[in-house]
Amino acid sequence: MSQKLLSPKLIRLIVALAVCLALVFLNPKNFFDPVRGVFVNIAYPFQKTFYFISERTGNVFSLLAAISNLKNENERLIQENGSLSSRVAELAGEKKENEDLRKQLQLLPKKDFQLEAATVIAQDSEGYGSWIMADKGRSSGIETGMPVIVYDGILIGRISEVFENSAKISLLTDSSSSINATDLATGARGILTGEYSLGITLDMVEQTEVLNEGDDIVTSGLGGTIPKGFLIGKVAEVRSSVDKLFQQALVIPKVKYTDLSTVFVVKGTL
Amino acid sequence: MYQKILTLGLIYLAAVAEVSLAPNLFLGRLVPDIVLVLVIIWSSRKSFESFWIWAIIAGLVLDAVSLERIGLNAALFLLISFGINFLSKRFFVGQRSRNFFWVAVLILAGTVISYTLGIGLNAAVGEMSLEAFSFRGVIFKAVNNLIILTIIYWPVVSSKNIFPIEESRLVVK
Repeated sequence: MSQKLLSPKLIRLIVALAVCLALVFLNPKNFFDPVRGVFVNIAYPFQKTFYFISERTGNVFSLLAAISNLKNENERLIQENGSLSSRVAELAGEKKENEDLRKQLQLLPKKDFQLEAATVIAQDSEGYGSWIMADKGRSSGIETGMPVIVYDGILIGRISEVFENSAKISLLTDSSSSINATDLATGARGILTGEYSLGITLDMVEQTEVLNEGDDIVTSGLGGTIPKGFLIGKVAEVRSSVDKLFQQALVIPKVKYTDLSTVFVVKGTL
Repeated sequence: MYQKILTLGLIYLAAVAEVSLAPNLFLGRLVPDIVLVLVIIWSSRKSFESFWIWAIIAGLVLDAVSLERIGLNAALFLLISFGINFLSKRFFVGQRSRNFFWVAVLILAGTVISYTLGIGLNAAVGEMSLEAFSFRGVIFKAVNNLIILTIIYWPVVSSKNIFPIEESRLVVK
């Protein structure tokens, strides 16, 4: 019976499985970095081509899907155009106010940084949205820990692994992500952590601080690794921590991380 | 040797396509497991003894390219390959190989196992919470994997002279 149970096939499976699981549990990722680097470097031209093609094709699919809604969309846009015209006049005044506030809050505009523009060439294939890969790496002066932004200063994550011509960006939703952040309106400070790719939470906010739904969350600059004033997202929900000692806020990111095509790596300040 | 290099090349391209080509094209941004689909097609047509090493290689290549923990996909593919072989021998001797629908059933089962165990293993090493599991996720993955199966099944099966996937034969002594 025992002979039948432990057939060579089963023994082979158990041994191979044990080796694979030992690799998963016992070896840190960094141990295999040189090997991984070789694979990633070879893949670089393919990744760039594949991502470019799929992005264009994906846009065509979106366009085809949108054609059926064109009539309704057109009517909606005509209405929207009217209201936007009046909004433009309002915004002219708000622009000046915004610039004054930016100065007061010491938020840094994008032009104050030494940026490296990079194209996204791959993303988390498991669908958990915890990382993306940029087409710039060590050869462009990218280093581990550098913050990555989009548009006019919206933080999306940090460089976590660097290869010769590419770099892995761990998004704010990744479980390893931890950043000092503050509520722009009330000044409440906390630590922004990734919720195992399920979202972002502003944690460790003292009960005496004020957090309001809809408030903008920005980087606080504490710790020195990420400059102060990068926008992260909006507070969607405020709750108490399990031990009731702190407040927590569920933060909705300003951008959809899976839709990004161009990002900017912050290499330093000017 | 030529066959082996070609197979390795195909696995490598499939892994790169999984992280770079598929994310922009598929439903719900849940990327199809192109390499897993390849492994299941091959497993359904070969004996475990002759394929297990390829299951590990395919997993390791995917781990390296998709920046996963090394060994994670290798362990999953090995288990799935063994499971397919076990099921094929015991329950579906009459229909094994050649049958697209049989492979489609295997893809559905393989997707559920891979998705569930993948999250379980990631949770065990502290990189994910079990809360990340969603039925919607499994369904999207399964549908996307079936689409990939429909696209690649016949080209892969018809190129059995190029790739080492010749059907294992049932020998009656």
